[in-house]
Amino acid sequence: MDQDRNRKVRTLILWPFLIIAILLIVVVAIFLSRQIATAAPVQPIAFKHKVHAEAEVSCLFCHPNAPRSDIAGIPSVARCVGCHQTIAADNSDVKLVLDYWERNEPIPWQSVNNMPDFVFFSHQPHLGAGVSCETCHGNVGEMVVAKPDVSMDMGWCLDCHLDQPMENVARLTDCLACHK
Amino acid sequence: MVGKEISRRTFFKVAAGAAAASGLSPQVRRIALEPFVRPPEEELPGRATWFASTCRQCPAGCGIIVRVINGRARKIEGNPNHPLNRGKLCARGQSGLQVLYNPDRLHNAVRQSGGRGSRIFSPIPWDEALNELSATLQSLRDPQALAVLAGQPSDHLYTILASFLEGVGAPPAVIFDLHSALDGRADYASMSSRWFGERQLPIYDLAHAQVVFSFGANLLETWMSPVAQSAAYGQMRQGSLGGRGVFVQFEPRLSATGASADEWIPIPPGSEGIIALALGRIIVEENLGRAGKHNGHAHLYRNVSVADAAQASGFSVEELRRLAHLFAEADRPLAIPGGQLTGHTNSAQAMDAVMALNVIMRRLGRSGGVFMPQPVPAERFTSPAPTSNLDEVLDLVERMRSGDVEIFMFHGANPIYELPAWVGFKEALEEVPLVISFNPFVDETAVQADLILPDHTYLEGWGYQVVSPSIDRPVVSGQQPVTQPLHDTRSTVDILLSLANRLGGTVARDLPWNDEVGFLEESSAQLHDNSISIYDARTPAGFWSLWRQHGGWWSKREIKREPEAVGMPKEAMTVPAATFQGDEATYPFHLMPYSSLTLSDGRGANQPWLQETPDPMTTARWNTWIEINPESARSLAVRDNDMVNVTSAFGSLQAAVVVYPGIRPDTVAIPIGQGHSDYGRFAAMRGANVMDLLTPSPEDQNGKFTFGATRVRIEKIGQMKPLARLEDLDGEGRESIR
Amino acid sequence: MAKAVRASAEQKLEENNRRWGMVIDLDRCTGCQACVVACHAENNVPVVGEHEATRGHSMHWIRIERYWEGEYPNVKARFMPVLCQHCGEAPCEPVCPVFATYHTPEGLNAQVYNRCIGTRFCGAACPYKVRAFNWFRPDFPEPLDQQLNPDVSVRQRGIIEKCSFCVQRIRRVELDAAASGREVEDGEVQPACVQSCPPSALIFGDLNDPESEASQFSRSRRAFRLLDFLGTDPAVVYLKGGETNV
Repeated sequence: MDQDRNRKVRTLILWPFLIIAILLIVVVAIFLSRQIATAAPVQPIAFKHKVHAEAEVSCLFCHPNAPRSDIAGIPSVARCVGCHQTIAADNSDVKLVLDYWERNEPIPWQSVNNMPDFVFFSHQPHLGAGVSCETCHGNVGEMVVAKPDVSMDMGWCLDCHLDQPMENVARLTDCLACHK
Repeated sequence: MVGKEISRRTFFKVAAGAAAASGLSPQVRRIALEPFVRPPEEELPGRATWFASTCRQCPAGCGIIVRVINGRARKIEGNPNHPLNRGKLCARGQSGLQVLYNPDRLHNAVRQSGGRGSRIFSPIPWDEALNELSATLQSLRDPQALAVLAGQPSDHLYTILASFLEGVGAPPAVIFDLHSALDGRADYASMSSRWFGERQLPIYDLAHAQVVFSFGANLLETWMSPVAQSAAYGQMRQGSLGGRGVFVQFEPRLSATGASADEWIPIPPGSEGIIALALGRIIVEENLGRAGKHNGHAHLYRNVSVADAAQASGFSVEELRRLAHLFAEADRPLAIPGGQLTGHTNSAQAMDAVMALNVIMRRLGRSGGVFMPQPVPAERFTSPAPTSNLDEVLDLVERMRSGDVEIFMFHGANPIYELPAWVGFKEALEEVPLVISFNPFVDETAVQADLILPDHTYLEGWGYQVVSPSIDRPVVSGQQPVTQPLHDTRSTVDILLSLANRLGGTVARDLPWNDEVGFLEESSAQLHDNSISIYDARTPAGFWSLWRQHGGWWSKREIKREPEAVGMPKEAMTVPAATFQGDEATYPFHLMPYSSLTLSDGRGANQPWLQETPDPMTTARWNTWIEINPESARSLAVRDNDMVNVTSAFGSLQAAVVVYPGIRPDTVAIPIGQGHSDYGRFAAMRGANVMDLLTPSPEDQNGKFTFGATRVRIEKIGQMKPLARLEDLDGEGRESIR
Repeated sequence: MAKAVRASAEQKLEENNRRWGMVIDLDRCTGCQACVVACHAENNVPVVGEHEATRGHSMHWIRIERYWEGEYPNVKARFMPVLCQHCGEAPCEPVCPVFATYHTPEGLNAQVYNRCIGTRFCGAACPYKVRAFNWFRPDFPEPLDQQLNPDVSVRQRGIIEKCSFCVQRIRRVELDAAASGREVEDGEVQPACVQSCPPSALIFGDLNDPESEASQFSRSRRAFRLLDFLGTDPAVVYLKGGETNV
């Protein structure tokens, strides 16, 4: 009798409990990992894309290599100082930029959009195909703090690429197109 | 195609989430962001900039281009425009990045504060080091007490060094490195001088030769200019229309070069010259070939007896005749005396005997034959750095031993390791009050120095090298830094120029340049406006810019120069039998030390890529071994991987056995390159240094480096040491890849 | 034969119909190991050290096999470079439980490193034994890690790796060609081994293009393929040594 009871406890309470607990952990893990993936990294200077976009500074002015290379690039201190030597030079954040310039020290910007080592991504063919910056990076022009708009995992990339016709290279049926 | 049924996107979304949660991340490397203060103008982020320079892993001087991304050198390739190697590069050249990024490099100038050999180093500021050096030089009573040894210096360093030493009144530098010695460069210069009246290395037009007889030249491995020679070999085989060249290798041990030959003639060590003479005699006697009458050369072979040569070499007269016919009946035969040949007591006569074959077959200045380099048409580049004979080294050792040397400086040389132990270099150094090294690594000799003022490694440095042996046109290979110096090292040339400045007087006048780059730019200007240049510029500054972009200077068209056999012997030629150290009864085997394809003369031992690259013939790596003929191995009762004691009249070492089908039963071979006591974590305490076995001979005192004249005996120890071979030995003698 | 200019995204797969392949001329190969070191440098292939090398764990993506023939004094040695053959009917592809290895549309046998879970079935199935397993975490003591090629992953422990015909170079050339609106030329893609080989024993190209150099050499009467009888359909063609093409 007791053995039956124990078995009942295990079947009706223990196992479901364990399964639900594990499922919960997985769901929380996925949720948390997405949080981590889309969190904004802490930057040395509180650069606001919104301010610059409203000033009609185009993306390609500071990130000019996107149409030509794999990497869009981070503007050098020289690029910032080009304008900010005179523009808004009394702003406290801008003063920090000018300080770096005086010290001849690079600003230690933290990377916002990162791919793992095994992924090959090149901006050039995407811009060449007419994909706009906002498509992947979100509405950066409205961002006060730069953050990844979405976790850029493989599934997300395929969301778009699977819209390509089957016979195109851009359909990405070849894993080696992106896996190095 | 499961991926089509299950939505890949869902699978990977879950997988990515789970992976991040569990902390498992399938990557070893993280990407870092490196912002600039001022971006380099010529660079696209993520794309490489290529810089042209010169490889310095061996004396050949191949042109390289280096892929640099974000200031880091990532890959070396051959310079496709460089006439010597035309875009190709050998294993050692490819490994150069492990010299630049080696973890065991010195980071700054150091004093060996714990005393010589203590390996306790304290960094000293450069100013202090230079002040001390300058003060010591000035306080020298007799400038003759300053001695310098340079190993394979680039030509620009040699020029500055020579001027410096002359300016201060010191004796000229001794130029010695083991690689050049194994190449036989000094012997070659002498032979060239004898035959052609100039000390330039002859050029062999291997690509267009029809029958090549190589006497101990491992021309596809390390000898002279292996990349150019390999490219020429490829062409000789399959590049020419209407036929494939024939290649015959005469050597006691089948080298990797011999493996590529059509025939391997296993000659006794030191018999190269005797055989070459016999072949010449047969050609002249039977009037072979279509090169013309041989009457004019008959006197050369008057004293040669083919029967005696056959006896001495162990080949039949018929065999020698067959070879003579093969050589002489070719339209374009070519005979090449090689490096191994120069290690014997009869090397000079042997080289002459081999070169004579080219002369009697009228190969001088003909396609597929022998040429002389066309000099670079500017004064600065006409005299490449010479190589010293062994007697100059021994002279130096003697002076050190008798206390005549107060300051000894060395650059790019590791004499304690490279020279045979019998030379006693280490002991002689003990008598020198101040020893200064310019080496970037703490090697065996640097560890006996008081001060080390590390030079940049070649990828961080400037210079030029007149390519020698040359190719089908004059070439000056240019060297420029591909990246900022990694550590606080300083160019030795800059040090010399700065010292000259401080010392004042003659030497300051002779070396007026502020720095190395100024000297190089001025040197390049000497070739500006020359009509045969591959490129042209309106100003010297523009020319200097193009010099760096191209990776040097060369002629836009082929210029081949016919050698003049001004030194044709008037008397009959003879080649005395080679003599060996150690009596045959006690020491039954000839020892053949040979240059390792990967480690060369030992300098490659600190590069893990080279250590792990298999030796082509044994597939073994990371250690020293001894190659023994299967029959001899049986009679010694040794098998693969048995450890044996190898003893000469001078010393002994232990090595693992490789049963080697391609070697004479009376000969054993040991590769050079391991047995370092220092030189970094990848090199130290590994294998044995075969140079320790070499037994001195009377000829050594006369300047011959008789590295092939030692005899040894072999004794089983009773232990085994499995070598790190690529192939598997399954006990049946069969091989299979693991 | 100019083809229409197209942006890379619209590039049709069947227009390419490439089969990348290599021809190895054994009459030119001198066993100099330049290809071995070039490959290590280009592809971040780790060095395992003496102990592991003795145990047979070295990771060369290309190796030079040396065969002895005959007995002294009539002994010969022959060299044969062996690398992944990128078989058309690859035995390694169907055995992977997670589909980490597959055949690309351009004829490469691909290895997706982050998918590999290290069962080593593929290594066992490969008759050429060209797949290397990372038994231990690869070590690149600083600053040797500064040399690592950013275009190639740095693999970690538990992953099988092998020659990829320098797919990073193929990819780069194809992207650049598409960006410039032109076709990839024959000889434009040079894997590291091919580029470095001093006697020019290695030729790389599109075996499906009858005009390519590789294609032409593969039709030589000296041509043969390794272990052909197994039906693997290798993309590497060897040219027998010791004979002319004439």
